[in-house]
Amino acid sequence: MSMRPEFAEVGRVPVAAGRAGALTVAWPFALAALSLMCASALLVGWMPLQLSVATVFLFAGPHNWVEFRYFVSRMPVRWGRSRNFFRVGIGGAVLLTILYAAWPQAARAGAWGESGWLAAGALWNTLFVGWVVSLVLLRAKEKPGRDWSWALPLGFGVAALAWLYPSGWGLALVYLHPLLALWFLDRQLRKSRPRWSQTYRACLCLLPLLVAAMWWLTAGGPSIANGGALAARVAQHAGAEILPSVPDRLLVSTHVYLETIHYGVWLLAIPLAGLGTAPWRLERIPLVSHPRGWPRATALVLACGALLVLALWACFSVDYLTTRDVYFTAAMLHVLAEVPFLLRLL
Amino acid sequence: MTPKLRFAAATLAVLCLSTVAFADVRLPDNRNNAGNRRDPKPPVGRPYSMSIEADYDNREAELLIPASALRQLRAELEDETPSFAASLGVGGLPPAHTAAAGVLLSLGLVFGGLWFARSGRSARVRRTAVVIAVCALCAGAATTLTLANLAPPSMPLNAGTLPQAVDGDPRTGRVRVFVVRDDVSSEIKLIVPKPR
Repeated sequence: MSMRPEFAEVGRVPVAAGRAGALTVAWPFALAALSLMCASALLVGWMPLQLSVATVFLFAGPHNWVEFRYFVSRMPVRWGRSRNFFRVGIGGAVLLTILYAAWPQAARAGAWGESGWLAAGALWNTLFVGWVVSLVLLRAKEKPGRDWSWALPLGFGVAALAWLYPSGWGLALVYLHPLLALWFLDRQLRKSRPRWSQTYRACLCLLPLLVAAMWWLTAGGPSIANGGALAARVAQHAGAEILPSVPDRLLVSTHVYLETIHYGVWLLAIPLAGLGTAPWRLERIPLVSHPRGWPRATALVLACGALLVLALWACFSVDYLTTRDVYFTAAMLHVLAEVPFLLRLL
Repeated sequence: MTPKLRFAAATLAVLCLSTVAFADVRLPDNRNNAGNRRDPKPPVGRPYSMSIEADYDNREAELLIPASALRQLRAELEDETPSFAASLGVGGLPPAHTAAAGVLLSLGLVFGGLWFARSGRSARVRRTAVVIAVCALCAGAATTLTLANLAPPSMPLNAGTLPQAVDGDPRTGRVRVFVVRDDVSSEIKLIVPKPR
């Protein structure tokens, strides 16, 4: 029986070596990761607004496609005992995305006023927390002896914060989402490339230092929000209105840097560590290779996704600002979809 | 120490700590501790983004104020009683938010206690819970020493390129003020017409 390439390396690592705690540095991986992190920090510190526009234009669509491709490769053909987990995961992600997209439209149509707007935001955040807690509890049920019941009190506490600080909570999601990719990569490396795992964690320790260096580069520059409609929207997305005492240049650069790292993880590191093959080769996807799978439907959906990426580029070229707004609304689906698949890796 | 005695001691400790807390007690309005009238605080002002644009098609100067900015400014007026400003409760939030947060925090504490009771046999969980409880107690005790509602020091706002719009001499004239929807303009905007 041949071993799948992405898991082959697990067998080559002596378990005793891992337990001894000796740091084994995967130099090529370390050099590549550090180069990417340092180059991104330098570029973002130098011209944050331009990088924000360029990275979203270039990488937003492709990274979504690679993420979707990764999720498809992790989807079992038969859900079995995980049936409820997947039902709640997929159903909840779709429903929450629809509510997220419909909420501003409903607010405009129904003239909710400021308090209604705040309450709707807090309610959505509460539903989101409830969905995550449900998934955690369902996932815990799949493995006997696993007690994740702490998720319930923690969820109530986090939901309370969503009502006390609705705007800040939403902004926290904007900044935490890129970091979720780093957690994803950590779990994936531990599973498929354990020799890279320690190196990766050592590189992650440098991330706060790089962010601090980028702030130092960025400090003293002019305000970004005053540079026109696009600049104002980028600054608003980074939280300039919610944190008016923090220079918007610092907020934008931090957000762009984290987003760039997020794109790097999904476009480079995850395909390298988690897919085990080129993203366009579908033979190893269980949904394609399994006799009871859906090879044509899977290929068709992935092809449609690739077409959507091309369409997104075209729309960005025609009207960047509107497309950016539409994209960041629809992109909530991929943010939510990460939750169940991350839980599957724990 | 028996469980009853332990419970009584814990309750006494909490009560003792609560006596030195001045967290949200509002200072008297008129006089300070020495009996003198306190000086009113200088107004800090609310920061907004602003732009000055030249529009040679306009015959009048216009000042555009986003509706959200106006709403916030109105809420700051002491004698103002607009519907939203009047409805704000603790921390500038509507009372429904405070109530919902209170209910959720209570549920969190109840389920946290249940979780702790259920996982009583696990030494690791007990250790974690004790560490969390000690941290919470220390944080709670530390808040008694802080000036809870003291505002953070205000940082100077970056004026951006606005100073380039004036050359030192005062400019005067009449402007027509519009309140616009937030999607029309998210910043305060002064539109200046063509010079005659």
